[in-house]
Amino acid sequence: MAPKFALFGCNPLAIEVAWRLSMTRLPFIMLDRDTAKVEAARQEGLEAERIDYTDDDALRSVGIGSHIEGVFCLLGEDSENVFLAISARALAPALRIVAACRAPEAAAKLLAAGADKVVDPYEISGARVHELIERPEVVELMEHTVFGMQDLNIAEVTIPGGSWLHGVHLSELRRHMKQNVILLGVVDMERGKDLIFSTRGIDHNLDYDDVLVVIGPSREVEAFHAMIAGSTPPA
Amino acid sequence: MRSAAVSRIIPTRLADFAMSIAQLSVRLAYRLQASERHHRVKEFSRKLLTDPRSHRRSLFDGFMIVLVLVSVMFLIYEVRHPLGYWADLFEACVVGVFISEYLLRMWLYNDSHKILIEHWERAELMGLPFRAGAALWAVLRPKLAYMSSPMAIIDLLAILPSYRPLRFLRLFLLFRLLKLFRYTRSLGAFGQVMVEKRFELYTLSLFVGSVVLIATVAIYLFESEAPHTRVLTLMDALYWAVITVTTVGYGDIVPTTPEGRVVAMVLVFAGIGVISFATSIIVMAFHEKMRELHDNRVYAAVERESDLTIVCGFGRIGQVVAERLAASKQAFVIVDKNVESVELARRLGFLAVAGEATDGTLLANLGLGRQASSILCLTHDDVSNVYITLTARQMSPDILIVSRANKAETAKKLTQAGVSHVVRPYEVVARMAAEFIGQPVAFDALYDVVTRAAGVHLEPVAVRVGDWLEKQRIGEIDLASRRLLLFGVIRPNASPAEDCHSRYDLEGRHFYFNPGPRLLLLAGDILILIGYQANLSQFREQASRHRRKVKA
Repeated sequence: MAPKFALFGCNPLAIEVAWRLSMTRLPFIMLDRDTAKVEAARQEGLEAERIDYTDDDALRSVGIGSHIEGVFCLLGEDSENVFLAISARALAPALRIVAACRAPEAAAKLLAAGADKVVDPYEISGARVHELIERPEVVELMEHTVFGMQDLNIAEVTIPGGSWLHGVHLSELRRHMKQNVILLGVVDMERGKDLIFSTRGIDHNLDYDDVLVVIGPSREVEAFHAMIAGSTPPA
Repeated sequence: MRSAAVSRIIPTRLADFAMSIAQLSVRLAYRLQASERHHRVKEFSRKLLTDPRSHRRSLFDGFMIVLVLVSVMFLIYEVRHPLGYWADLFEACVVGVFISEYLLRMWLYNDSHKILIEHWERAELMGLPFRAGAALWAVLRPKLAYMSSPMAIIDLLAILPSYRPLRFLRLFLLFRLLKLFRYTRSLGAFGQVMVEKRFELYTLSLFVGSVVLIATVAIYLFESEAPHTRVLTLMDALYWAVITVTTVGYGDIVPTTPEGRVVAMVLVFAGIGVISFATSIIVMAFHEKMRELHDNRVYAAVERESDLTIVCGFGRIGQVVAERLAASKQAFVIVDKNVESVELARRLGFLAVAGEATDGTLLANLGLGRQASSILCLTHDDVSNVYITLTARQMSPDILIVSRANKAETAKKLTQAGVSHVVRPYEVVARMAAEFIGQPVAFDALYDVVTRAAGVHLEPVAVRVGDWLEKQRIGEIDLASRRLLLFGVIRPNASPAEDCHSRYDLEGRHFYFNPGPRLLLLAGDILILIGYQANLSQFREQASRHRRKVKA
């Protein structure tokens, strides 16, 4: 099976991401310029390859611009990641690019270079440490359920063309919801990427291509999916 | 015959008497040892007088400084203007305070009853007679040692100037001022600097002494015979030499002969050397001391907090945590071995100490084992984090420990060392990156909720006994009109379980996700609600009200 995701960097951070991806059974390949690091990743049992990411042809040969859907820029230096993000974005405008940054000021540069999401390991870890002091029960709960291995997931459901939900108010959708899922909110893609929380009290008028964000066990989420896909409201 | 018997009886009586006194005092010593009250009083006095971290002590010190300054002012004023009855009474009170302080400090210096008990028990153990004299000496010796310490002598001399009949005792007024050293820590540091640098200062004074001696003799030999000389005696020569070597140079005595001027020139150069040498010694010593002084300040500030977080390591993660703690107005103190990081922290206005966080005494100074309620091990080094965790857990069994682990293997070791929570930066990022790739919109939304970035919070609301929430059904609360979303309910395992809902196992607790309207809330449950801050606080406020006060 051709890899769908490319992980640049064979450092501990990238290996951690690789383990996550292999848990979700997503096909991926690890890439680095440094032979020793590539070898270290292979030792861990991961599929890794040495390429020079500064060379566009090498990037193309891996599948960027063809079968690769997402790129993780996890190289050790912010400058390397910026370079990689720019190269990848130029080759494939629709690519999904996630980058890790070291210095906080690099985040803006990575976004400008074309990354869709920048994660700052230190910022996130710091926030988590603070959460653990302040609200340990919430963190523990999220760890065990949504982020953990138990069957409770967060999912996004795009309203498909031809769905009965087109032109329907959010409150009406809620009346029809019999599944055991929580509707966190909706993102109106035409208006921007901000989530309209369902608690806000705005009765949003739903539209094709709006994204509903729900939390629930996977079976229930599937049932919810099926419900909104129909052309008529459920009885 | 009879008188001989009497003369024999009297010494035995005396010996008996001495013995019974000794036994009485040993019994008293045991009583003191067992007495809770004695212990308490001593502890209170120790906090008041000697404990460097106690809040009470700083109050006491302030009071004593005022007392000393006012009494000295009165004594000085009194030299020319007789004061009335009230001033005398005040002086008597001051002396009373000084004397009681002196005695208290002597009492606190050591535990005499312990020495007495030790002697008695040793005698019992070895089957030897108890020697009261030796025991008495052992008790008195440390007290005498205390009395001969410099500060104790100053304390004693500070009492004297109020003794009128001897006017020269007025001079001891200066000792009263010296007493200030005891109450102000920065002044105390000055004294310590002098003590620590005594070798350098000794060398310096030896050098100055010989230079001055040579100059004195030389100027006397050259100048005393010259016409129009001002150097008439050896005392004049010494005075001139000291004034010149210190580069003060009043000019009231000046050499008139060429030889004398040469001596003066040489002496001026020697003087410059001496002054710069002395300045450098003192400056260096103070520079070294400054850090300690600053640390002491931090320790004192930390002591005033009741719910303190110790942040070990001020790297990027430490900075983020510190900013968040500061924003939520929680008390914290930072330890980092890197001086630059500590300076950065201080510039940002945080309490910070430079030092190894693995150092147990440093952590104890920062309140570990006392008022510290949580400790965060955020250094780059997993080995240090494990070590700090272990130290903290040993010193304080119920403290909250959050530790960073860079490698996955370390997490297990940290758990063994007694950590409460482990945070693995790489894992957190990996989880986020992987989730984002799958469902970017949903993940961003959830992440905003968890980190409160978008103003929407995910918050626990506890159900307590007697609350309005207790014994309510979910359907009766009407969360929708309060603009809240119920994520679920956490219930302790001990409470009766409900099976009609999707249930998840937490450690020791169950989580009911999106429970139906029929779930009955019990005391001990925790509602996990999603909503805007204002709506949440309103609900929380209402929920905590007593059941009867809320209209149905």
